[in-house]
Parts: sequence; structure tokens; C-alpha cells
Amino acid sequence: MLKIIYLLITGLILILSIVDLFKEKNWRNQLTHLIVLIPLILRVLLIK
Amino acid sequence: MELIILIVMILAFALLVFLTKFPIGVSLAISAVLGALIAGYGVPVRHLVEGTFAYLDPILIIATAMIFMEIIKATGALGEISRLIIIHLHDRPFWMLTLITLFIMFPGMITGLSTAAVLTTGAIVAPALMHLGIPRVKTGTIIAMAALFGMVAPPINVPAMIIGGGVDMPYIGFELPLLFASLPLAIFTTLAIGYRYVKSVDIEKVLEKLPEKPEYRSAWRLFLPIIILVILMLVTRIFPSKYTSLGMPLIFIIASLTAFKSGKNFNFYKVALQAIHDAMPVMGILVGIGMFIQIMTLTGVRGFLIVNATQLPSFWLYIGIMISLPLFGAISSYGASYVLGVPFLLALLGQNEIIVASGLTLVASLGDLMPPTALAGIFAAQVVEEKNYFRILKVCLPYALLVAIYGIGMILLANVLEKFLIV
Amino acid sequence: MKNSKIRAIVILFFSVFLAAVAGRDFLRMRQPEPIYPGQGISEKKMLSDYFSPLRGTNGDTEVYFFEGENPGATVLILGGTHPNEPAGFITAICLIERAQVQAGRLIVIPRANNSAFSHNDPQEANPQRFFIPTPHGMRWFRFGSRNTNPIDQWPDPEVYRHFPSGQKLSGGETRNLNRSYPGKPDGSLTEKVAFAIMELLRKEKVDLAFDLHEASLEYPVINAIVAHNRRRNIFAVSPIANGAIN
Repeated sequence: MLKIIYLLITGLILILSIVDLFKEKNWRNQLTHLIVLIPLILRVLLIK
Repeated sequence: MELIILIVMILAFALLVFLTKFPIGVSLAISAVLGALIAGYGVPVRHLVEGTFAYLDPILIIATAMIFMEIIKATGALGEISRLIIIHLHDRPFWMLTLITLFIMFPGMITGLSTAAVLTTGAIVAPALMHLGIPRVKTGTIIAMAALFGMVAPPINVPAMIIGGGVDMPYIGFELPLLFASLPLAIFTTLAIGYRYVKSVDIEKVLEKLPEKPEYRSAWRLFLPIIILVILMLVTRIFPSKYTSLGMPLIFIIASLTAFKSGKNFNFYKVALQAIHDAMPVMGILVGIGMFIQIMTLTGVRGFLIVNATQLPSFWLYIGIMISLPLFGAISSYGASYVLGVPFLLALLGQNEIIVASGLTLVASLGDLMPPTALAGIFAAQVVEEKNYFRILKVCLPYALLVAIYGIGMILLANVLEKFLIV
Repeated sequence: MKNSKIRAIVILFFSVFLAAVAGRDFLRMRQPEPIYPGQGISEKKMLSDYFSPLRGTNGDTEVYFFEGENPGATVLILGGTHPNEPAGFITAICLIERAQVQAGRLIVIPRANNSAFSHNDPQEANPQRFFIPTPHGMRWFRFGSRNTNPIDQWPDPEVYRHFPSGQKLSGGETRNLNRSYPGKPDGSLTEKVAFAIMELLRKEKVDLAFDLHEASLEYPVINAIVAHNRRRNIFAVSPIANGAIN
């Protein structure tokens, strides 16, 4: 149960991060999104 | 060879941050890739990604804490608390500063994260301190330092648990030594920085500057999210069980959800998006640190550091602790406790291990002030809206030195302190 | 479309690509290495036969039995409590493939914490597999993690309180099988595994149990004995305890 809630929280942060990626204008800052998204994606998909 | 790799990684990192203006997290990631390349590992994607998972849970905590903070800012609760602190406590400056210090420390004490303290209670008292006449930069310093001591203070000190885990020492009997390591320093630091500004406050003038009393139905309802936050944090610790171990991210989310209709209305999506935007650089730093440490381990740099650190002769060992723990903390203070704290404790076996570990965590906590990552400093700058966090770190410097000396003193005198601090 | 939006799409795509490259490696850890049971095996069961809620979870694991012709004591050997300590795991496999029991009974669990085999600890940069040449070709084995996979048990509490002692340990230890005994039937996956192993000890009337370990990497604790203050005298005179603890 707690695991599902945490996956939802991770998913929420993943979605907000992607939206923020599209709003960000500075390409250097967009690279930060690049590395932050990877672990969030893998956890939401229950791969790692 | 390990030394060369280490130097290349650090140089590349410094160049990327200061010359090419890459974000810190990205710079860490790029220098990690470089380190792997010159060590002959190519671009080890699996290792780079795997390293980041050490910080997945802290990322969730920071992201949800930021959402919570943005929300209580939006409802007006934050501003109202600082108004109340000023009105009720301005004529007792000593007690006001002591209480404020404990208040800032509180989230750090129960989460073991200095950033949790800066972002919650630190953000709450920041406007109050500034309205009372403490300069912006010094307010940031007070918050950053108190948050650091909160992280060291019991009941939760994660570095102590990490070091304990590394040597199979349970987290028991740390309460008094950690209190001894944190509380006197915390109160001294706040008073030393802030007392002269709040000695005599012209309350009429301050009240003029304060924002108007916001409109809300009842103080009870306005502060409900904060009350819920505190209650949940306490309950999960006083009555730990399967059903109450919610974890900080969920507690922040629940507290955030109770904020609807508590004060000014807000748009959850917009506020949350702003929060993630503000948290993104720090989340990037954590991910970058994860990659950096994993590559340090992969290339043998970490083992090289550990072996050399533990073989220092005794005088240099203490100097080594004073320098390397905070320095490595530039990458992360948890990382420093994990990578260096454990071998240092092993090198110091024979003195009371609980007190030695407590002293080590005090020194290691300084890592949260060490640039370029300086999580406590960066967030403190953010809550007082100071653009250049180095100005805050500069004021912190003498106090940080004091902390390091105090920590080493605890280690040197561990067997004397044992009589008083170990029950 | 603005430049920053196009870049965002490229970056999102690249993130997914890197996640896929790493993810393929991570998934590879779920494939179990082959074990070739020898002729001495009399029976193979699953741990869930002793505690059914484990069935279908990644905590379920194989249990091998050896029955001697003559009566005698029952011995349990656990390998892979910590899959990042391969000596214990390999010893258990050697027994499964080679052991011949003449008297009494031998029970071997090669992957005591099965879930912990399916991932690596972050920041340790451990290999995923290691290889041993044999006359019949190269054999491969997984080098796993000290703790249960967070995919199977998440999130960790900030502080783990051991049941029933109430001892406080850092939160990640909640996934350490060797900090979970005697376990709890309604606890975490790791506590359930510990409980199932205790059930096996009780139901099979095991007389003596060994839990095989290795020293941590990088730290000078080789030949070190971890003992309670009050039991130092016993451990100091029992070199046999060396390696059976830690």
C-alpha cells in the first residue's frame, strides 16, 4: 500500500519535472532535468 | 593512477562550475563521466545511473518539502507566524533567539536532514528575523547553522547511523553525546550572530514594516497544515509501527493537502510546479553526487582515499579528519560519513566509540556548508532571498571552524566525556 | 515551435534512452544463475512451503535436502544472506552440487535473501556477475546486494526498529535479512523471509544452523569478530565462530 503511494508521489514529481523541462529556457539547466528524470523513470517503471 | 583520476575529476568539476557556468549537478555528472573515461571504463551507463539511486529517497523528501513550503507560503501561514513571533517575543531577546534556534533545529532533529530544517521552520522564521533588524545575510547564516546543529542533534542523526551501520554498532546511547555536540554550539552561534541586533527593538517601527494581518477564518485552520506536519512527524517516531512509518515525503504531502481552504486560495498545480522548479538544481546535485561517488568507487579512487586516510599517524589523523570530512562533504555530508567516517572510526578504535562517532558526525555535518554543493547554505540563501550564497558561507566560516575544533575536542576527550555522557 | 521546446523533446528522449540502456542491465540481474543439483539431493522444496504468504514473491527461494542413510542430527546451511559476500553463496552451491550425506540430514538454502540477488547497491560499483572457469566451461554467478531490492520493499523507514528487541538501526537495515530475525509473519518482505527460515528451523527440528558470510569490502575487518560486550570471552576463544558471524 505504502509502496503504491510512494510510486504515485514519484510519478507526480516525474510529471512535474517533465513539465518544468518544457518551461525551462536555459539549455544548461535543461541538462539538469536530463539526469534527474532517469532515476525517476526507472523507479516508476519498477525496474530499479 | 587513482590520484590522477581524482585530480582530473575535481579539476574538471571546478572548471565546469566556475568557468563554463554549468549547473552543479550536471558538472558533477560530466566530471564523473570523464573520470570513468580516463580510467578506461568508457561511459559506464549502468554505473552512472545506479549511483543516483542512493539519493532517490532524499530527492523525494526535498521535492515534497518544497511543495509544502510553497503551499504554506501561498496560504499566508508563513507570514502570519513571523508576525506572531515578533509581537509576542520581541521584549525577551535572549529567550526569543533560543526558542527560534530550537524551532529551526526541530525538523533537522527528527529527520536528520539539515535541508528539511532550512526549508520548513527556517523559512518560517526568516521573515521575522529580518523584520527584527537582523541583516539578510546574517539571518541566512543563523538558519544554516541552526539547521546543521539540528541535523546533528538527537533523536535522529543519520551520519551516526551510517557510521554505526558500517561498523555494526547499533544506534543506541547516542542521545546525550549528540545533545552535547549540538545544543551548546547552536545557542551560542545564534546569540553570537544575532543578539546585538535584537537587544532593543523598536516594536512600533517593526510593526509598520510588517505585512497587514492577512484575512483568514481562524488561526487554528490557517496553521493546521503545520500542526499536522508536526503531529505526524512526532507520532511516527513515538509510536513506530508498520502503520505509522509514513516517511517524510508522504507526511509532507498529507500536510500539504490539509492546506486547501485554510487561508488564501491557491492553485495546487501551479504551486507544485514552482516548487519543483526551485528544487530542480538541488535534485540535480544529488543525482550528480550519486554518479560521482559511484565512479570514484569504480575507479578505485574511493578505496585509495580510505586506505590513505586510515593510515595517517595520529596527529595527522586528527588534522585529516578536520580537513577531509568537511571537504568530502562538498560532495555530500552523508557520503562523507559513509566513505570516510567509517574508516576514521575504525582508526580510532579504543576510545569510546559512541562519543567518537558523535564527534565525527559533528565535523561531517560541516559538509552541508562546503561549496559548491553546500545544501544548507544554498537553501538558506533561497529562504532569505539572497542571490549569492557565498556571502552566507563567509559569515559561517568562523563558526564552522569552532564546530570542527569542538568535534575534534570531543574525539580527543572521548574517554573523559564517557563518564558524563554514557549512561 | 521554440528552440527550448525542441531541446526539451530531445532531452526527454535522451533521458528515456539512457534509462533504457541502464534498465536493460538492471533487468539482467533478475535472471537466476544455473545451479546443477548433485546426486546427493533427496528433495527440493521452496521456502514458501514453510510460510505460504511468501509464495509468488521475490522472497521465495529454493531449499535443498540431503537425507543420510543413518540417523543423526539435522544441519541447516544458509548461503546468500548477503549476496554481496559471494563466498557464502558459492559454498552453499558447492554443497548442493557435491555433498553426500551419510548420517543425519543436511538442508541448504543457497539464496537466503533471493530478492537481494536481483540488484546492486548504489555507490558500491560492484560487478553484476562474476565468472569461474570449470572443466565444463565458464560458470557465472550474480554479485548482488547486502539488502533486499527496494523494488520489493519500499520505502524504508527513517529508523528501523528491530523486532522484538526494539533496537534502533539506520533505515536501510530494514532490508537486511541478517538484522531481521526472528522475523514477523505480518512484517516486511525481509521479516517474512526471516520468519519463514525460523519456521523451517522449527518444523525440520534443525539442531545446528550456519549462516555463511564474508567481510565487507574495502574496510580492514578481515578476521574480525563482532561480538556483544558481555560475550567477548566466548568469541575470543572460538576461532570457529570466525566467518560464521559478521
